[in-house]
Amino acid sequence: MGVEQLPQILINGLLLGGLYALIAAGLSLVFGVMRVINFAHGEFVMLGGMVTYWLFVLYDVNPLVSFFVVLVGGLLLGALVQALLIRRVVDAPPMMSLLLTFGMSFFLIGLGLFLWENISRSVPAYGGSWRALGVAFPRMRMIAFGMSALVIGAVFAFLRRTRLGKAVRATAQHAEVAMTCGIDVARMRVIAFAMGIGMATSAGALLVTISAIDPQVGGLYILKAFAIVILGGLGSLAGALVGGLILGLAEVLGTFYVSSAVGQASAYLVLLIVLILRPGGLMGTAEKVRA
Amino acid sequence: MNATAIRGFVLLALTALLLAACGTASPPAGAPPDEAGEETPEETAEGSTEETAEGTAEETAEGTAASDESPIKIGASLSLSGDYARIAVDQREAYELYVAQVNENGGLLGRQVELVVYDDQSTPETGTRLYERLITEDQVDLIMGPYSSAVSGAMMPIAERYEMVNIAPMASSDELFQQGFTWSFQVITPASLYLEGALEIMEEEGYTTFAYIGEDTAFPAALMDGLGQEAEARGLEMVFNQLYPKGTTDFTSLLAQVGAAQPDAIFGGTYVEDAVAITRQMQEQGVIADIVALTVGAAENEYAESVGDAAQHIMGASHWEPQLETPGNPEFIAAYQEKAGRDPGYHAAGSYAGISILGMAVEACQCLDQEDIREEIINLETETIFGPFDVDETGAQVGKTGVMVQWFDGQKEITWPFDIATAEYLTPLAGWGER
Repeated sequence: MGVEQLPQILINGLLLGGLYALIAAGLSLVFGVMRVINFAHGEFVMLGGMVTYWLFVLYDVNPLVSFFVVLVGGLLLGALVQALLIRRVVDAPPMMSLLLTFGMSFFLIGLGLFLWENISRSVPAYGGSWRALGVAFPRMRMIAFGMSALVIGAVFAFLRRTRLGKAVRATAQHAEVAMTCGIDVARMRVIAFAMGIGMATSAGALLVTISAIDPQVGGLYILKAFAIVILGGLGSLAGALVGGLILGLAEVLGTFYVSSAVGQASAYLVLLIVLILRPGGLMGTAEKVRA
Repeated sequence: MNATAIRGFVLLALTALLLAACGTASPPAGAPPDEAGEETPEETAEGSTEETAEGTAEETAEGTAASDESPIKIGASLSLSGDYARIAVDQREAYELYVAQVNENGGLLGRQVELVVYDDQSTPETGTRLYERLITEDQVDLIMGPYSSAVSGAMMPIAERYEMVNIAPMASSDELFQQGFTWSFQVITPASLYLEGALEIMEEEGYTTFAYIGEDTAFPAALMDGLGQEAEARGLEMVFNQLYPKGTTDFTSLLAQVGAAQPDAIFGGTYVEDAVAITRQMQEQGVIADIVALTVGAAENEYAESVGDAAQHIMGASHWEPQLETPGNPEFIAAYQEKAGRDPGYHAAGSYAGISILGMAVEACQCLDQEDIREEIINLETETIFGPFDVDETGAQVGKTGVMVQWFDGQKEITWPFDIATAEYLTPLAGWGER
């Protein structure tokens, strides 16, 4: 069954993958620059969604406006967390940063349960679809995809084009050498973490308009983000983008042609295959480092 | 240079993640799942004495009961933290409300009642341990069931082993009562019958086919089995069915399959989160049927808040609604609102009904003998605020039926059972954007 439905399924998969990419890109950036795996990344996604929900319920703010509020808020929060907490463990043994971010994750879940209770929250916005060529283009998902592309594009341009962005990349490549070149490594790390969290919270603002989120939803998204980051290659922004799209497509195709269970698992199957063929991920740098 | 380090690191991280995911089949919830069980603070119903469990262990259960002036202790473990916390808190309020009311009216068998409540953190293992502790160490006179089919299922063998009457107000799964246990009793409608009303509406309207999707957990799975059997008995056809894994957020592909099957009715076995996502994505993808009924998700108020206009004319199945004209319902609602500061949902109502049944049985036999109480409950056939109560020898609920609701302009109306409906059901649904 279902060749005629294929275009629709592909659209759905790409739209889904765009959001996954935004979440994963933040995780990947932080890892790339600091070699810190942010276990609390999913909780920052949740935080962004919940604040968007709050703004909507309490002040009737359009979620697209909240998106920018939450994005800026995420940048500031990220900078603060880096300056206060992450900074202390960047150069410590890996276990320390794992413990710290794991603890942050628990803290944020607790905070979420305290502030918003264990209730699924969601913001109704731009329901329905545009239709063209017999295919439905869901309005909110299209908008969310555009927003994700905007943010990822902006980060990409920043890293490629600007002097500051290049300094961040230099820090990612080799912190010590960057330092000897006169780069303020500590500051670059603040920038990187701020951007990582900004991407997480803004993804949350989009997610809350698409599916319901609750304070404990973060674990779900970090699992997917993890798969994407490893699929695409650790620390690679382009890898996160490609990985996100692949995961989105794998999920919808697996679900449609086999079953939901296979759909959910297919992402990890793809991950396994990629890891066997290319241990560094599709666009990984780990392999190159070894060579 | 540090490639191996990175790889080891990632492996470590993934292992940790995996452990975290498995260790707490329910996701982490503020407190680490393992250690806390033993130390959970105990709480007693207000108005009762401060000294609890530990200090007064010399009391023996039944024998000396009647002449004893010490309070009758009712023990329960509830999911006060973790996955089920929000709802289980309602359950505690309901138990406490009943105990406070009983104490105001002279107590049970002339003795005051004291509630001993522990927190099982939404984990069945902890719940089991805590019931064992309630029975053996705290030596409570009576127990009341926990929240959820999962914890109920785990602690039912404990009730069996110690021969304690266990009214499990929130256990909906059919299987629990098909294991040959004789000490546990169901209060709410068995999960397999949640959509009985929707099937009846289908028959009434001459529809013949339906599709079912549901989360791959206890109640939606039981519901799928139940629908299969019911459909056969009623001459209806289930043209598509599938369970999706817990945590699924994208239903587009599943809905494409549902749409392709062109059913007259679309049924869902959902909680709020998935009901919201399914409704939105049905709207996006333009999937619709003459009847759409999502249980229990679409019966909750957050559902309509979350999906907005898309809720129009969607049906849900519930167990209890405040408009029901059951005996004492308005009084219960008022008392609950005063105590808890919020409106009761069906969880609160069912829990209150459950503990009331226990109280009725104790008063009926004028004793605390578990065997006698058990006999009373089996023979009891009554009407509570929650609706009819009647259990068979296996403890399964056979008297209670569910309630179908339908959304009209943001208002939830009861549309089935027909004799207690507050509004006439509306079918067929118009297409998206036309309602």
